Amino acid sequence: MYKHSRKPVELNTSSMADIAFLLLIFSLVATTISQDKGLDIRLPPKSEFEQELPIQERNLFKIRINGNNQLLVENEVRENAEGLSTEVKAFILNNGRDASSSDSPEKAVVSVKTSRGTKYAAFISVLDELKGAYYEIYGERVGLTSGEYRKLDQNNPEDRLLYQKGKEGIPMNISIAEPDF
Amino acid sequence: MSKFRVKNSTKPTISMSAMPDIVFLLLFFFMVTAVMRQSEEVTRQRPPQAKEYRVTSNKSLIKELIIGRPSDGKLGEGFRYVANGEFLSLDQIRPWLLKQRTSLSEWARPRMIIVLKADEDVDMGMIADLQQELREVNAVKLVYRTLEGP
Repeated sequence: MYKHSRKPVELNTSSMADIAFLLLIFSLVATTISQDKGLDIRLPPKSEFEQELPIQERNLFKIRINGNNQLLVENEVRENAEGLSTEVKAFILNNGRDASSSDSPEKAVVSVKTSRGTKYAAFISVLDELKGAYYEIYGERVGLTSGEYRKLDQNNPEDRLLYQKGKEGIPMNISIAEPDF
Repeated sequence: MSKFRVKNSTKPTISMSAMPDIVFLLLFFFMVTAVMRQSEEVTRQRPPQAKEYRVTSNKSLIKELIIGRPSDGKLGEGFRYVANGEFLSLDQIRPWLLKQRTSLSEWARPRMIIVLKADEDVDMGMIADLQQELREVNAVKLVYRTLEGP
C-alpha cells in the first residue's frame, strides 16, 4: 500500500495577506470616518397655539445680529462676539445681586435673534460663545474645565453622572428666535 | 572536519501566517468605525469654526442634511439643500424627514438627531426656514456641524 509521508501538508497562505490588503484598501477608499463635531441645540417643539411665556426683562439677555453681521448685545452695538462668554456667564450667575441682571441661573434666558441676511458663521460664533459660557459654569460645578466637561462621554456611566451633576438645575436656556426681516 | 556538524538544510524563514490575521483585524476596525460613503459629493461647503463643540456619540441616530454650493457649475452658485446626495427644495424637506424617521426603529424615532452641515456663508434665512420645517415634524434635536475652532 502507498504510504503517506509523515510531513503534514502545508497550504501556501502567503497570498492570503494580499487578499486581505486588497479588502482593507477598498474599505479605506470607500468609507469616510464621520466626525460629528458640532454645536447641539434643541429646537422648541411646535405648538398649535403660540404661547407667550412671561419672562421678566431682567432675566433676558438679548443678542441681535443684523444683516451686516453686527451685534446688538443688551442694546449696545458690537462688531464681533469676542468676550461675550464672560458677560453671559456673569449674567447667568448673578443670582439677583445686580438688579438689572438675572434672578437665578434657572430663570436666566439668553436670546439670539438674527436677521434673514445674517451669515451663518456670525451666528455660530455667537452660539459658540454662549455654549462656552454654559460649559464653563457646568464644568466649574464638578471641578473640570469647560473643555474637559465637553469631552465627557455619555456612554460611560461615571462621565454621565458628572455630566448630569454639572448641569443639574441650570438649564441651557438659549433661545433662538425666528428672524423677522 | 568537525565531528558535530550541524545539519541545516532548510533556510530560515519568517512565518507570514499571522499577517492575514493582522490585516483582517485592521479591516474590521475600519469597517466598524467608518460609515459607507452614501453618494458622490454633489455640493461643496465649508462649515464654520467653533471651539465649544461636542462629539455626537450615537451614530445610528444621526441623519445628515447639507446646505452647500453645487459642485457642478452648470447648476449655479446658489446654496441648495442636499440630503443623501440629492438636491431638495424646501417643501421636499418635510417628506424627507418623515422618511428618515420611519427608517429608524420605533424607540429611536423621537431621538433622531439632524446634523446640519452648512457652509459658513449661508444666510440665516435658509437655516431658519429649515428649522421651521424641523419643528413642524418635531425633529427638535439639531447639531450645527462645525470645524475645530480657531
